[in-house]
Amino acid sequence: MSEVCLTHINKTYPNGYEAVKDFNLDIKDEEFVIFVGPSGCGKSTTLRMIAGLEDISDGELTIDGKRMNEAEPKDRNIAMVFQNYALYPHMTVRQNMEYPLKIAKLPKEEINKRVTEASNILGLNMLLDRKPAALSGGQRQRVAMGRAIVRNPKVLLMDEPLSNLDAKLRGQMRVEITRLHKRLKSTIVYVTHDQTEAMTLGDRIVVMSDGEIQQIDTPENLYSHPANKFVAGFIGAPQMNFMDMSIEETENGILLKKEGARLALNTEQSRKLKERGFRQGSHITLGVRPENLSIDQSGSDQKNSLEGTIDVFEMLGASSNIYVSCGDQQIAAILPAGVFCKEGTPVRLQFDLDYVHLFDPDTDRNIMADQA
Amino acid sequence: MKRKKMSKKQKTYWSIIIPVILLFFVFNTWPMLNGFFYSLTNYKGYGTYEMVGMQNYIDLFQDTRVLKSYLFTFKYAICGTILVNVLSLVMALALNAKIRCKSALRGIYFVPNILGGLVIGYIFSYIFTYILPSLGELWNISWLQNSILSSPAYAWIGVLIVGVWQAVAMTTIIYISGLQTVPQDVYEASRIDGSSKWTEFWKVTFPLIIPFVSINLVLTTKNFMMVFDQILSLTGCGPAQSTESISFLIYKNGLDGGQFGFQSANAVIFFIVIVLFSIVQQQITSKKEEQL
Repeated sequence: MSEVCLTHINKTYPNGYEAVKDFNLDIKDEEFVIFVGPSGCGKSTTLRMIAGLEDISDGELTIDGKRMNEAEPKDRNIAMVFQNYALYPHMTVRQNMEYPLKIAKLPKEEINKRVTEASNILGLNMLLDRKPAALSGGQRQRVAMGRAIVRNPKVLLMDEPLSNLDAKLRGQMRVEITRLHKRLKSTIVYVTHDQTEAMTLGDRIVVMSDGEIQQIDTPENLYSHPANKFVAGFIGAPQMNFMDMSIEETENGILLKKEGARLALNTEQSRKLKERGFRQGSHITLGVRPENLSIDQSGSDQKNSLEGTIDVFEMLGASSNIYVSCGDQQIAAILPAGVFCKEGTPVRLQFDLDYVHLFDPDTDRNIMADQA
Repeated sequence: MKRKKMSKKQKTYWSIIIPVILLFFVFNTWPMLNGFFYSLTNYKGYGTYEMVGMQNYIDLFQDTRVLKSYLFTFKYAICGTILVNVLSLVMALALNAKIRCKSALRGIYFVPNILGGLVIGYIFSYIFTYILPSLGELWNISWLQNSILSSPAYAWIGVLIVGVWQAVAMTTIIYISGLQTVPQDVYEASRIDGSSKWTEFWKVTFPLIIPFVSINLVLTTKNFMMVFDQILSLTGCGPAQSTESISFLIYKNGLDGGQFGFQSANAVIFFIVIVLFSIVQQQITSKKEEQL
């Protein structure tokens, strides 16, 4: 059992800067939780508070029910993988992995057994006598993970462990970390600013901004039901398109209007809007993901579409991105493979209205995700 | 076109390097060669001289005053090097910790290095001769009532205190720069791995600053072996020549005592001893140097 509970955690620096505000999270045993957010959002600070490398200004941290606020890092039964690996440069790979075990005064046979086991899992057998300077970035990262897992910690903390690796290696290491988690069944708290890492690795994702939790949810829910405009914009690449629309009430439901666009909402969407007090003439922020837009070649349904001019066409292989100028706004859309567009040509983008998101322009809350 | 560019580059290179080579040759190499030449003569520093071959070198090893000065210098250098490095390392660790007014304190601790050796020597001479004995009388502490500099047995400790006090400043600065090369996250990893402060120092910090220990050992040994200012200002090599260093002996008897040729031979031997010392030290520490 390795459960981590953060209750009303705050971090305020002596200069008054609030890095983390009222952070509440229960991490279950064997869960893989990701803290994601832009730089300076407080995700690493929160992780460092769990590790004991930063003092907790207010609130309570428990690991397996025991209060850990005042405990030294070594007494928390955690291990951490750092962004810059933090290997001991003067020690060989073997010595790096042995170090925490020697400090814990484990018997020599046990140390050897654990190091061999970890190096087998991480493919480090051939590198055991090398020093970190003689290793590549990916190998160093593996050693850092090896040093962490030999201790059999209750909680494994990872602070942007893949950010120094190139894109290809990052992809490989992502898969390795997933395998490692399945094999070790440890509780992992992982910090990243990379949404792909967050979406692919995590059982649950904590999206943070300005020291506050924006949403805690599964990757699927974060993508499909973002709680607010920040989460909707942060998850997904290219990011969700936002448009300011005005409401027109009709007999068949609600129409969203903007220059060059008239979108008829479905019954459920219309009902939610009405329940929230949105009436004729009031404004709303419409969010639509690039993958929920397509090129309308027939021109038959002009009602649920938007006209513009293609600014940029990006061929990605499996798909393409287009950036379309619609008045003063630029809209991104993802097209399937095989569709080619010429920059500068007019285009009509069709909305898949079942997948649009409606945000309250005053609170930025997602009206469709909120409980009425 | 390319060649023209290269020659301009080379001109700049030579225009920088030639004056330095000339200055080095005139003020360093030429006097050294001259010294070596005079070491083979019976030159008194004035008048005529004759070549005596290796006689000066043979005499050197039989001269008890020279041997005594070597013994004093080695004792002084070994004790000084150990003391300076231990104290500097402790001080550097303290000044590198998260404390208030860190920069101001570093500045204050560096002051002894700015002051000249003679100035410091005369200040300490006053302290040892007048202030400490007065305090000894005031507080009735018998061993403090006489100046340490007047005791043939302990005068070297007085010289050592001054030498260490002055040398600690520069050595501490070098250790601080060494400590700053150790990445913060390595310390954090070590804390999470369960190290105590003591273990962390010996297993993580010290091995990572070995290159700086090596530099400091060589520099402090060399500087302590060449002790001169402190002797001149504190004891004048007394009492009873108990604090006569090699440099002081070379200066005193070479220029004042009509032994220019003989002391030149002493200087050549001393030069070889210092070079050998430095090489041996480097060899020992370089084996342990690690790259970050």
